[in-house]
Amino acid sequence: MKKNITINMCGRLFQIDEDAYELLQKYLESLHQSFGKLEDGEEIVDDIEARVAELFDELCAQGVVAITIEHVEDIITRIGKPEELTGNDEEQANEKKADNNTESQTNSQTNQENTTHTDQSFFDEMRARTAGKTLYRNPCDKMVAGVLSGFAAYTGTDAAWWRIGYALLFVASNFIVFPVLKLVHLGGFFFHVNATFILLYIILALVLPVAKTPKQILEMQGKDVTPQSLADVVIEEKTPKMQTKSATHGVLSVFLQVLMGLFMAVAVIVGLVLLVCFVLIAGSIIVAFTVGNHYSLPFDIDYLNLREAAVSHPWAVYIFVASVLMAFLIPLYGIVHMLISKSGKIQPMSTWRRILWSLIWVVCMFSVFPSLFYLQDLRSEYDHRENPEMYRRHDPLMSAADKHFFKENGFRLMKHKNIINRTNPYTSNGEYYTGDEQVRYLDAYAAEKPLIYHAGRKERVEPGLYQLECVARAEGKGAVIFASVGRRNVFYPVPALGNEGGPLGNGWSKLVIKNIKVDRHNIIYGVSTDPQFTWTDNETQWFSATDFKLTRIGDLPADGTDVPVTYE
Amino acid sequence: MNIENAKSQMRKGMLEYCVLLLLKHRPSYASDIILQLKQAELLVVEGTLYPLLTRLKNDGLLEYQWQESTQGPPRKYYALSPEGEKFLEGLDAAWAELSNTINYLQTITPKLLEAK
Repeated sequence: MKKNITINMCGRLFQIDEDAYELLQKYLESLHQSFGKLEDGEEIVDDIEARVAELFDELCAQGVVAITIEHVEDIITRIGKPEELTGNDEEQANEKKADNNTESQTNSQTNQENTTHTDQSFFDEMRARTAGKTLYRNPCDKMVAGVLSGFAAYTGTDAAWWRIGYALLFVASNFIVFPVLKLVHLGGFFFHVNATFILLYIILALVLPVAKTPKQILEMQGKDVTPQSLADVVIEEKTPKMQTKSATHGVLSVFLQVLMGLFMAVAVIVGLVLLVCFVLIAGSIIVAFTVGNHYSLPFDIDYLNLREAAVSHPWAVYIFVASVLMAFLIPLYGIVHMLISKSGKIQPMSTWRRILWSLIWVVCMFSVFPSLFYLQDLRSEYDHRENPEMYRRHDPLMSAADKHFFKENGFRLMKHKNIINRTNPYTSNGEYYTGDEQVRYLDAYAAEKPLIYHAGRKERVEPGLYQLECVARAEGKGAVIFASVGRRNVFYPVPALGNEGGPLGNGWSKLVIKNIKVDRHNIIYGVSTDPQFTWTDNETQWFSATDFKLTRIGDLPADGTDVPVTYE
Repeated sequence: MNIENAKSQMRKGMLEYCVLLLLKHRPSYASDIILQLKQAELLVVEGTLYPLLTRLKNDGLLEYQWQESTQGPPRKYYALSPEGEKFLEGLDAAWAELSNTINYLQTITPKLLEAK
């Protein structure tokens, strides 16, 4: 099916296909270009236009309803391309000037010899190559927007070199530290890309115009805009664009072919992996929704409790399911599309569709992880509430209450070993020094000695002198309250008073470390029984610690004198 | 040097003379001339004629008149101007001379060679 338009030529109406019309218009345009300089040039073109109308008339008389591009092509070959028409007259003009011409020819020959004999520096060569050219984007040979191919045409080099070079620059900018080049940085949860070169390309693509008209294509290639060259472009444009693709030669072409082959192989493998993942995920999501959770499902999808979550938080589930499926489907679609289009069965995707799909994919990737984390949080809340034991499936020892306490108080468990698996292995309650049995504190009991437990809290502070307070107790020697600033550590061993007596009762003591020098913005403090860290023998069966409190007690001494750390 | 090329050079040289000859007895419009030249196999691409006609007109050898046509838009009917007629006479003489020379060369040369 073709779009059909009506044109008026010399007072006659003709039905003509749109592409045929375009070709005709270009033909007449190039005739204008070539005859424009001659005396009465416009008249000649008008005469030829009248002739075209006459030939169209003949076609209509033969019963042609709409003029097709083939008809126009026939007419162009019949009437002749611009250079065939002007050649005649030019020859006669040339004969008159024959003597002058031979002189100028010899001149130009000697000029050429001169230039080839003189040593050309790189810049001279570049200048010579770019002379008389205009920088355009090249529509005839493009991978994305034809920017690099435009540069290649401008410098008279092969586009493949530009592409490889640009790709290398892009890769290098991500691995080698070029502070200047790290202008733009795309970052997410899972990828970091130095996008300077991507942005540069986009800017160039926006700034540089596309060589659209035959005249611009000639300017891009640095050919003189003559009737002949114009006609070549006009007639050539109908032929497939493959011909104008940069022919890559020799080693480079082999290299590119190998690269292309490897790329296709990787694409196929990635495609298969994506397909398998997609089927597994889609299948397990369906099972999770219909049959319900089952531990044998892959990717721990059962952990997300999709069926329950879909009732309480449907949007989180919809977004997660849609984005996770799309995150697999889009690249899969892209790869399949590319493989089919390489085999020539379908057209390659247009640039805008590529960009659109990439954007959708990026959006999906940015929504997969937040929605996944959200669903995980939902699940852990659910476990806290409904099924504390279930929670151990992923962290075999920490109970919901432990985790809650650590989270509330900003502690992190950095090391643990030999801890007895009771209801709450890392915290306890019932023996708090005030007698409030509900208050929870850090606490662990060794299943076998040594008890290894190292928990710390990181705090962001202003530099200065600090005081750390806490309340702790221990069964034996080895538990230590610590504060770390950079590589410097301050330790305060917890008195081994057991669970009776002590200054505060139930074995608890208040420990205060004063004058901790904090000359940076971070401090970590907490409790440790790890001999590799504390350098003390560790004999304790259990310990308890809580009520950590860091206060700023003064500025750092301006003269840099050392203030001794004191323990109370 | 191929034969087609040589032939086309000959045709090109004669085209001007042929057009003037065709217009000697009756005015014609471009498509008429094209038809006749094509029948005589003197014209390969039609478009060549238009610059030629315009040039002859600008040189004052041809004149044209617009005439209504029954089938389409008005047509330009070209005819020889008095100057053109004089020019054609000159060309006739030149052609007769040229033709004689060619004939002479075609027939006489072998005999000359024999004589030697």
